[in-house]
Amino acid sequence: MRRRLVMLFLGLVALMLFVTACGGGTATDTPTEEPVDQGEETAVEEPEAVEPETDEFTELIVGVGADGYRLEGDGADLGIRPPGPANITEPLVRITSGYEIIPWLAESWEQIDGTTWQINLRQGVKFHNGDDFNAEAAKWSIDKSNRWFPLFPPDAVTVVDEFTLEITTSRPFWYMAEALSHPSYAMYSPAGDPGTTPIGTGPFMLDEYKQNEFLRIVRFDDYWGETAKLDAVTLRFIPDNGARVLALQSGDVDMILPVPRDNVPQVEALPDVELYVSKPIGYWAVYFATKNQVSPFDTLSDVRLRQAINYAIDRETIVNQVFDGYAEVAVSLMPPTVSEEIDQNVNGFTYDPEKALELFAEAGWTDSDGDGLLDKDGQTLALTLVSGFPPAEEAKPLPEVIQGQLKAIGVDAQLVEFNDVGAYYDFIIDSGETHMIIESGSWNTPDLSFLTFTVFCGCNPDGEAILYERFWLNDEFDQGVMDSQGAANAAGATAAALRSAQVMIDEFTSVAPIAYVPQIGAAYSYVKGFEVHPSNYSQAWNLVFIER
Amino acid sequence: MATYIVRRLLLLIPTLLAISLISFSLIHLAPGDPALVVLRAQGVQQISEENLAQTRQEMGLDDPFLVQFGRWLGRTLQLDLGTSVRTGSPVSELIFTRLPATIELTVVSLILALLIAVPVGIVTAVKQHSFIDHLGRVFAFLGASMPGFWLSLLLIFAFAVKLSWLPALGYGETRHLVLPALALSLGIAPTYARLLRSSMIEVLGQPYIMVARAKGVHEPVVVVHHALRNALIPFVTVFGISLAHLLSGAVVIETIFAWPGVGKLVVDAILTRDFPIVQAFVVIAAMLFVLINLLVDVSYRVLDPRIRLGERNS
Repeated sequence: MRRRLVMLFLGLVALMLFVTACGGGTATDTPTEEPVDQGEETAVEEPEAVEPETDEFTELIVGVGADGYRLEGDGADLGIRPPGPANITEPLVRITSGYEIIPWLAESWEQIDGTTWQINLRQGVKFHNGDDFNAEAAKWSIDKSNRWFPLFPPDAVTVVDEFTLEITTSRPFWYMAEALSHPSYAMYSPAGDPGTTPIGTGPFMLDEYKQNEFLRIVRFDDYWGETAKLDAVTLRFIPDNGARVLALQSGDVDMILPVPRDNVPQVEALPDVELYVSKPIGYWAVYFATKNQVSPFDTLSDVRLRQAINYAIDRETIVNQVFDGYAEVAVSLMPPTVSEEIDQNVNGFTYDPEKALELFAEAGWTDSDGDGLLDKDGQTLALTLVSGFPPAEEAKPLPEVIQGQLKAIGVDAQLVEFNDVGAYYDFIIDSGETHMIIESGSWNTPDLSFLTFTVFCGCNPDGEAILYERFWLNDEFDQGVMDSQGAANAAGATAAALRSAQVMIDEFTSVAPIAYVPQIGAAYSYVKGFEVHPSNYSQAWNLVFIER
Repeated sequence: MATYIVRRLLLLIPTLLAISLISFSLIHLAPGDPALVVLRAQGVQQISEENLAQTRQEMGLDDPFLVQFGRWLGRTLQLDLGTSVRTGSPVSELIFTRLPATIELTVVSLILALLIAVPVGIVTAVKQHSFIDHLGRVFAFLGASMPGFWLSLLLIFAFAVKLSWLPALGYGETRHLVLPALALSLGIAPTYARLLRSSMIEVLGQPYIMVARAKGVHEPVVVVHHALRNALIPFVTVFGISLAHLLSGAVVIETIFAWPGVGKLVVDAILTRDFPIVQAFVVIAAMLFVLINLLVDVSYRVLDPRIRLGERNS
């Protein structure tokens, strides 16, 4: 009996080890924003249940990454991650593939005064259940999202008449139209639960969803815009990068999105397969911890070191070797797709090891003992570089390459990697035992204050920016972000955003931008009409068709 | 025997209680504020202290540890496994809709592993130090050292991409089951084969085998009837313990083949600190584990009638 118990205990320990060790290796390809959910299934049919009724029935099968959909109960509060890429719902304002905003379910918008916006809605738009899209539905949808994460400082949303809305903000806010282009402000009919039975106005309706397996949409014939050419689209979730590429090769899927970074050349070489590359709206960058840091983790409070590191990074090599050329050298955190003006008016840093060594020497760090590493007062220049959001597995081998480049100049960078985002936050927020973190971000709306406000700004009057307190810059940066949001016109908003970008890169230098990264998709050449959208949320499946 | 089984089943109660308490503590000791992870996962961009406090309260994270455990235990005793903190769906539904797929995969893989391991184990033991034995050793090292994800990708490449015999992924039909089950069983079969080989070799050296041979009993009968049956006892023990190993292997395989099993659900739940799912899974897995070990013990009796279950040796 005792032996059995010992065995049971050992088995349990093994199970626990497995449970705690699972942080590594399993998190694969979750796009930066998409949560992995545990939603319930909304239908029970098998995927094979839909047979082509006629010869013309066309269905596109797309291999996508991990299931990031959120179709579950309590949608009124939780339905904040609508199946945007699935074309079931649409926002009031749409982002083009060139990253311009254009009227969509809203025909026009106007800032009446600093805190009041009037939105004129499109008429004659039908929901999937036949109801008319109107101001009531728009108000309901906007209020729903504002309860969880407003992308503008909300005050009230008022129905003026059937097709006119008035949105007031608690302080002047310029980027209303940009904010409304975010998929979280997609329009739902109040008649359905956005979580389980989403009723939208999009070119496709939800047909069936099986968590972690697939999501199928079918054409909505009464769509107000260009009716879909395909009868159905199935998004199959294939979180494993290698398996996704093999599924394309074996013909199990017609296309894959995204193509894993490491497999781009391999996919490009496949016969009859086209590679689609978007303009970049995402970036990879190193952030420096300068606030509330205690020795020896306060080394980077000296701006000369932060700039020296920027000079020591060879971005050109990274773009070519890590991204196989499918990325651009980053100057700031703002890819030119989002704002050319900011990209051009920030100086940034180019690879210049001599300048880097000069700055290190100025700050007192030289290789006095000839061991190849910089030192000062007998201390070697050792800096931690933490990777964990997105999970370290996804960042590889970027941190390792940066580590190597820093080593070449004499900085001993020590990598700390997390595949568990929770442990990562604990580490960078609580422990403070970090000099640098490497993260990826994406401008999911063309609001020029979107990421600077949500990630770095300490100015937020609605609450402290708690996550990245250690990476905060200064009051001047905050002022730029706030002025940009409170501007009265586009020129003023851009000028202020540019000011904050200049402080971030050229003056305070709180980050080291590395690369701007695009969305990459691949499809067999019989898939026509596809254009990969820079933001994974706005693919237009209604324009895609199959021509064999 | 019946008393023994009842006693073992009763022992389940304190065992499961202890397991729940240990896993509950481990989960709570793990780093990462669940409220923060939940908010971040829900896409909340600007997380304020107020937001966090409210979420913590909703999740019941402010209560003392024992109060949380007591609350969970009380609900579980009423067969209510709670709701997922992130999605609000009932945990029992989440787990039990996926568990069948995992069990299907695991059971088929086990059978496949046995079909490979038993013949290989017997042959390599009987033909010890022969070419076949060496080949078996190479096969064992190869299979045991090859990571599951790599083997899976190789199998997909060979059978789906190159030969187009089987689908690369999916769920529903028998043909979908072949590659994942093969990948999983090839990972465990070598261990079983090696184990059976060494235990067979030991048994084949026993005097009673010599006696059987001396009596002129046919060699196949000697090997299968006299040797294998006795050699199976340590084998069956390991078989029972390897459940945990199989479940862990299944997670990787399930992810690669997009298999809708419980593995990915649980890993996601761990990464996002969805306590109710993790806790429920640990208890269910522990229960399965205990039951399978009970079956293993009962099978000793079948394999070797000399074994008296639950009775002290006199």
